[in-house]
Formats: sequence, structure tokens, C-alpha cells
Amino acid sequence: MPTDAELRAVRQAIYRAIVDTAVAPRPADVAAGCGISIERADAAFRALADAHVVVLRQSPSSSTELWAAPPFAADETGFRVDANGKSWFGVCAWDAFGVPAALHADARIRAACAWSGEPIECGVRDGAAFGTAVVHLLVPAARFWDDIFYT
Amino acid sequence: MTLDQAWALSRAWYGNRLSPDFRRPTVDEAREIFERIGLAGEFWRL
Repeated sequence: MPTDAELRAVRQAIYRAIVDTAVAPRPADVAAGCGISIERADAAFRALADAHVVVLRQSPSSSTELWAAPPFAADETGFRVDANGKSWFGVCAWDAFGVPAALHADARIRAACAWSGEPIECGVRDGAAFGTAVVHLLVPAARFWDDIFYT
Repeated sequence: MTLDQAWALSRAWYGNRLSPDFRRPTVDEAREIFERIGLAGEFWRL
């Protein structure tokens, strides 16, 4: 079982890598920098997933590859976020705004209407939201984590 | 929810995500966040 210090170090390393490179790291990428073995880093990734801090890929079930370190998605999604001269993808519409919230930065979000497919541009300018869309969530709050991939 | 609500919710939820002191909101804290932002009703009940 990873220690609290290991979990904190690994979590910080994950987010630092994503913010710096826009690429989700693997346990092997962060282990040395955290001063732990790859096996310990693997265990930390799993523990962070169990705590709903990050989300691992579903397949294979033994995977410790990140699917997301919310609000950042590991893969391209329909919610592109440009901020600080870089681009990331939000896990969902809420998380698209979560990226500038985490970065404490303004951002331009490009998405598409789930109903019409019309392009949507919105984001954060001078610290305030801009755009005319609405965010529609399908899953009630109490069930967000029942199936986070669907949510 | 409106984009203003999404932004307010995101700031409350993710504003400290990169901090070494980050922790996920407790259920009570999440309820307070939803209420403060005007996200009410059965959908937002925890």
C-alpha cells in the first residue's frame, strides 16, 4: 500500500507532466522522479484511481495507464481547451472549464453541440466565462462515479 | 447548467487540483458547492 507521501508525490508528478507536456505519464515515467520503484508507482496509480483522483483505462483490467487525470483527458475528446499557448482535452463539458480552473488561466474551448453538431466556442476570458452554450449532464450527481466513462 | 455555473463549479472543484495540498471535496463540501452555485433539485442531491 503506497504511503500518503508517495501518493502525493505521484499525484503531483502526474499533473505536472500533463500541464507541462499535455501527455499523460505512465507509472514508469514518474517513478524515478518520485524516488520509488515502478511497482510502487503502479500501486500509487491504482490507489489514486480507487480514490477517484484519476481514472485508469478499463482494458485490460490490470492497466495502470491513465484514461484521465480530471479535468484533463489522456486522449483527444470533443472538448479541446487552449490555454497558456498549449492545448489539452477536457473529459467532458464541465471538465473543459475545469482545465482553466486548474490552471488559473483564461482559455478557449472548442466543442460541438451534442444535439445539432454545431460548433461551439466558449471559454474563460479575463476570469469570466464567455459563450452562449449550456452544459447538459446525463447522470445525476450521486451516480457520477457509478460508470465514470459514461458520465 | 449555464456556462457561468460550469465555470463557478469548475473553480470550486478543480481550483486546487494542482496544489500539493489538494484533496477531493467531502460530500458535505460538494453539497455546499452545488447549493452556492444554484445547482439544486434531485439531480444534484448527494
